[in-house]
Amino acid sequence: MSKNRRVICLILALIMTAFVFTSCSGATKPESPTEKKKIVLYSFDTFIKETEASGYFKAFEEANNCIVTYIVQPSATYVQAFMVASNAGQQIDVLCLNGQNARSFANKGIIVDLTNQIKYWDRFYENSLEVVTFGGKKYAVPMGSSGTSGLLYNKALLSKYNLEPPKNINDVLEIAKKLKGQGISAITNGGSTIYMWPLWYFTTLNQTSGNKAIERTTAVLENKAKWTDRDFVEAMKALEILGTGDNVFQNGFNGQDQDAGKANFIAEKSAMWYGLSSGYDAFVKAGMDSKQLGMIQFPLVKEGYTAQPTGAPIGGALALYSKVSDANKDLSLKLIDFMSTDEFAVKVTGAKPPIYANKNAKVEISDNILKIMRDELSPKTVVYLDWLYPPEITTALQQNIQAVTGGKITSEKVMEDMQKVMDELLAKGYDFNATK
Amino acid sequence: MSVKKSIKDATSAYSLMVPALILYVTFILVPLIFGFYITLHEWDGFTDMKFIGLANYINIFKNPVIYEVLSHNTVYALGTVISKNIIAIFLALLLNRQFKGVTFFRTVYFIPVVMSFVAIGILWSWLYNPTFGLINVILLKTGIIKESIAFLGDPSIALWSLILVDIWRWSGYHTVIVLAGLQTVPKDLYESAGLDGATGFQRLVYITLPQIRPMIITNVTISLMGAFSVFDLMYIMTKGGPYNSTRVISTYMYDITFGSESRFGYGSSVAYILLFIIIIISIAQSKFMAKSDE
Repeated sequence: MSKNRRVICLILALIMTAFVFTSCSGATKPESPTEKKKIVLYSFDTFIKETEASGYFKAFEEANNCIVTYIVQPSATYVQAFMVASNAGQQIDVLCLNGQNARSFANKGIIVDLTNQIKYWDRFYENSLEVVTFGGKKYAVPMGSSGTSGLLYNKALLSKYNLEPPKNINDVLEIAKKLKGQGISAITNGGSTIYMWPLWYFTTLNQTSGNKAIERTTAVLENKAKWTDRDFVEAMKALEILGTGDNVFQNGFNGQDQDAGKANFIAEKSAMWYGLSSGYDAFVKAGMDSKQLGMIQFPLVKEGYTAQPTGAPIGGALALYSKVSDANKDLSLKLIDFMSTDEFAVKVTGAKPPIYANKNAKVEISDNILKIMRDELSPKTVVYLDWLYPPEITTALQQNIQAVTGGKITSEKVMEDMQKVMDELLAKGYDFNATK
Repeated sequence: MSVKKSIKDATSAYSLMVPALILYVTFILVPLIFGFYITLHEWDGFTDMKFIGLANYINIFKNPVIYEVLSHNTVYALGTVISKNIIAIFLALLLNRQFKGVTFFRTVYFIPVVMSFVAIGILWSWLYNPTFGLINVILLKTGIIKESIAFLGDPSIALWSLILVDIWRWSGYHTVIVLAGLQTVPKDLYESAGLDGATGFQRLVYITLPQIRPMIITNVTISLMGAFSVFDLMYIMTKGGPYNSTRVISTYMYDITFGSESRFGYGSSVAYILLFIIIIISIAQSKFMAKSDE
């Protein structure tokens, strides 16, 4: 090879290597004094789409002469994406967390105590504040709309077969029996979306615990109760009865995801769907007429019990990253204030669903299902219990519910396994009340 | 003069290697070493690392889950390796002829290889759907079955359903490798065999297969490695369910590392066990190839 060609090849190769390293740069360079300040908001996929973000933050950017960089990650991969960004030293100032992650982030010291740094706590409902309060300190600000859950049913389909919406589990089994010959299941569910299963358990536990699900869950996590106690077992038993009941769920439900489950309801292959209020939008978009639909609470496990929906009192939790720079701290707190106002809550979530963490955020709605959610279900909603759980318990519960509804394991065995996981955690020093 | 020239040539050669070496060290070697370092610690990705020595590896081997996931990988390997290689040889033999449309068929069999795994996962999830899926609809309408099959919902067949998708996706790739081998087989061997009165089957067994042995070994090795490192299909289609029946070592590693438990040290240790398995397969392949060359 001639000398010139060799030199050219070497220079080109070094330039290419330099490009690769430049593109991998993650750490933030110091800003010059004349540049606009940049605030990075790292959010899970809540109400604000990445493509619409500039519209939402324009007023804040203009008022504060800054740029809000909005980074959104799917909820299922938020934690690992955040870990990567955090370990790479990327600038992160404000976090918008799924409420489920708020406790573990607070415990790990990733987010800071805001109790004395925020003056507008009275904006929010008490139950919204409870879920961001750990060890008596408030670590995040509630944002957006809250959610509830309910059993959506197809009025026309049920009345076609002279059926009434179920009041209890036995009614569900009866409906399943009568619909079997028509190729329609009683309820649809996308069981392969494993993280949605605990919703069912929380709802049944709300009943079997005598409507003291939070107290009982706290007791078991503090080792003052056992997962094998009657109420916990009975709540799981209810799911076992439903899951193994003939034609209660559609065939192969544990191999289908939530979208496939909803498709069954839309196509009238299932008479009922149970899920979160946020899931209702899919049926509206599919053109289902709300006048043909009805919504009730989850059927009673046993007569004498009182149903209570499960849900989230907040849409997201706005928190200050513990490694935020001193220069960005005040502006970050201003952004949190901006995103937790009544106006922002309504703007971001609109009317779907129409239930807010803010006391004074209101919107007019005409959809009768949304009205039921807001007026009847939301006031009774109990927070998702896995917002209290350590991750190991959440994982074990998700997998076990899938197994018990598939008839692979008994409810008694499930709760024994849950207690084993709990015992292992306690042996490693797990303390429910510990916060940084 | 000649020593100076060889030093100069060597310097040129090494200097041209430097960029690739820098990339290799930065993106392969350093992460490999740091990854092993993580396996010696307990770490959740956020808080400080706590050194625990080989405890992660010991705990993995004490945990029955690792044996369960490896058994799934083994079943997956048996199902995919054997099937893909037989199909590849069969298709390659068919496509190793000149006929009208041969290019079209060669292309069609290769299309699944270039499709995104997300698209494949979503496509087959719907094909397998017990209510809407085309497969169940056809089987029900033709009377072959009376009740729809929960391909992904029945834990006894979910893994085999995924094996079928893997076979569909990768057979074209292995076919191309075998086809390339077939085209290097000297034609005069077949002519001589023909003159000696060999049947088609005898030509296949005594000429074709021995000649393409290196390609078969390559295909077996690649598909075996793929079976132990498979992740994408399970992640998209079943997430390891139902009831962990399709949980394999990669999905287990992913869940334990990036799931709610965030156990980076433990998950990295699982990754190194997988690396060890792949190394063993590679060594076995090298030995087979060396034997084949002899």
